[in-house]
Amino acid sequence: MKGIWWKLLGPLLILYSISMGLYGPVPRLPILNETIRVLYYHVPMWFSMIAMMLASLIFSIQALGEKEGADLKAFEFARTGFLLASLGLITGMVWARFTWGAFWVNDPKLNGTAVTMLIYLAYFVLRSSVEEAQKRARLAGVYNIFAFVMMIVFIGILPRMTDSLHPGNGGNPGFNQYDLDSNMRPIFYAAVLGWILIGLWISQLRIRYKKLRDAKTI
Amino acid sequence: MQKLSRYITLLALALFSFSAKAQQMPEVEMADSLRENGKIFVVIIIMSLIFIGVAAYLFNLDRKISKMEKGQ
Amino acid sequence: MQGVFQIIKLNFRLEWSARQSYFSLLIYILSTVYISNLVFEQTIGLESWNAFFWVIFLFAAVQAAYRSFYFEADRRFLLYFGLVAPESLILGKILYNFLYLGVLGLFTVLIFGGLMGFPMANPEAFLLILFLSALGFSAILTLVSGIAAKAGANPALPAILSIPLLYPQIITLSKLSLRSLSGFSWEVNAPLLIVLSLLALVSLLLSYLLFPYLWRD
Repeated sequence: MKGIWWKLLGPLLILYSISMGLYGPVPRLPILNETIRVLYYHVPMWFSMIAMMLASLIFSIQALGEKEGADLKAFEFARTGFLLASLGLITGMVWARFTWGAFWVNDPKLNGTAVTMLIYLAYFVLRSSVEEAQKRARLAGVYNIFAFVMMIVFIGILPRMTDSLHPGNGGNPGFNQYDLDSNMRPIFYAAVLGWILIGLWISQLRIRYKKLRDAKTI
Repeated sequence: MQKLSRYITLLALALFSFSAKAQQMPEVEMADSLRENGKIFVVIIIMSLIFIGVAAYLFNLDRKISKMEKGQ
Repeated sequence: MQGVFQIIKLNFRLEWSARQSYFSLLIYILSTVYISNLVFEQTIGLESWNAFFWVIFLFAAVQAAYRSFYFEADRRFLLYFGLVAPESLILGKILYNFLYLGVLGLFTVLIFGGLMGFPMANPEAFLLILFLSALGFSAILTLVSGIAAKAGANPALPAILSIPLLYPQIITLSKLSLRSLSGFSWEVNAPLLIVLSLLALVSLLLSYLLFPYLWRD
């Protein structure tokens, strides 16, 4: 990803989602009321988190092929993904408090996120406990691939096997109407794409910074 | 046959939700006055400004790192 | 295939020569079961039975599998290297751990059931779930204990690394096993059983594919 166009595109898309997300028309639904607009700000965190973890997976596979610097990239993308996941979790908890009445409920999607964060925390711990760079690249790469597969199983497959409180699952009023709502869709997709670009940008900045720092210490 | 019955239930559900939605329309409370008197623009401007600030910070960081990379 | 059996035999011989590891695990199970017995003074409900059983078994399994690479962080790795291909090494280790965890699970059932009662409504289903869990656990735990052994001496590492990876399986199997305690319908639970077996299979495949990279030095 060369050039500056995507670094401009990301913030522009998010600005669009902020202004149209607040102003644009949304379906009138009970319980959700105006909080349906959270869709534009909370859900893109999850989508962009998964995108970051996917990038991390790709670089981990490259790291197993002994590609120079791939391990660092995998790590930084996982970090950005973790940041986005934390933001998504916190915003989700605030929303859940006012919609479901509690900050934390035992919902498959919430559990999935918590587990994802624990898996990636373990990945960070593993990476920090190995000194030698080549060995670290291999161990962390192996673990990251495993982690990604388990994350996809946990957030993608298991929730479909059980009921979820989340809007759109099992008789809950909510977002499954948004699939039909043509007003919401473009804003939502713009927000997702915008946050993915921002995530790429932050990761890229951190990777460049780390490379500079490493070059200096050598 | 099973497929057909699934379609029928889907159709019935869609019709049902449509009529349910039409009935709920006036009851659901939304922040309509906020939009009518234009105060919503204040919120939009403030949130956009904060985000622009964050983006500008990122741009600045990017420029600094680029400069350092050129210096090497 | 020859190599796989060699590994299993070798592992068993080595482990048998240090028998205290088996006994220490047995004592671990005994003491944790006894703790849960002490905590529950009255009869225990099905859900608590289920939760306690799987937590005890999970931690016993993590410890058992951790031992499988613990003794050979560096030296024996080199010994194996000339002997067998990494693919047969990981398969052998997983199979050994599978047998080990299966026996361990049966022991846990006996001890735990002896003290807390056997409430199974459908023992065959429960044993099948135990068997599937031993398979999935051994696949993940063997690879992770390999990673932990290579990463060096952080005693908390195996648990930190493996438990989050085991969550999908644990959630599925605890749901299933609770149903096998209270009354089990094979038809209703077939999808979950398939998910559990697929999870075990995917873990097995991933361990098999990824281990050679771990192995390379």
